[in-house]
Amino acid sequence: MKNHEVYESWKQVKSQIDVSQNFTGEVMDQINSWEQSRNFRRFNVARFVELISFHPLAKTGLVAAGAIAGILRLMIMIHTILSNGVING
Amino acid sequence: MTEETGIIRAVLEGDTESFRLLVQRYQKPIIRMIANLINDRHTCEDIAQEVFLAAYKKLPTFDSARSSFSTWLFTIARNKSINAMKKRRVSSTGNPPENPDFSEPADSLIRDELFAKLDRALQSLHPGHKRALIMAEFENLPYEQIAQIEGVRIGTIKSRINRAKQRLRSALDGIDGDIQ
Repeated sequence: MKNHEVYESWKQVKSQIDVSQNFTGEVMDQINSWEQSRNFRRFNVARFVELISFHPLAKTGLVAAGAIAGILRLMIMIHTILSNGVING
Repeated sequence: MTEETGIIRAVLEGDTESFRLLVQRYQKPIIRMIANLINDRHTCEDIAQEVFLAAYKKLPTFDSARSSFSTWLFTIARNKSINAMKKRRVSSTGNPPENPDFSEPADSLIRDELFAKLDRALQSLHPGHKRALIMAEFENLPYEQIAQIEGVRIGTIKSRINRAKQRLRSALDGIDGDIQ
């Protein structure tokens, strides 16, 4: 047996590959899962923006929450300044 | 516009199912290349799945002016194989060679032994030489495409393949004839 014959036979064996019948299906399942999770993330953000934009109550709630946060922050700042005696010297 | 370009465009426009055509077209060469690179026919499909998923995710970045889709996909497969080999040293010797048409058991044993020698020689090659040989000999990719995948010049690929063949030839020392 000549070695180039051995080599060619070996190449032939190495070139043979059996692919699982459901390989393509599994890849597509993974892709679809990834797409779904991506769309879910997008959907949540989109839904939140939509809710805020189109529902007056949601808009009012957001503005009220912002105002309360602002007032609280202002109060904390004043308290900090006064307790450090910055104004009183 | 080639058929493949049309498929890619359809996928990019939201037709996810069209990607199935690309998977079906390239699954065999990609799995085969990974199997030979990592020398493990059991996990090669898992890595191939990662390759196709990565290709799908990165598809918007694919530039047909820079390379063909197959070159791009083989490059992803190459990189995933290298990462897989780094993560876990695959010590498996792979599947034993099949002996399709031997009437004499003695012939079969001799051939098994020779195939095992070639397998060992292949796995002992420098990684870059091994990849070049596998892509050239088992995937029949042109040197230019291999050079693109490896990111080196064609001359380097030719040299790597020659060296790899020399190593394989020496593994069969004592047998008449030469590897072509």
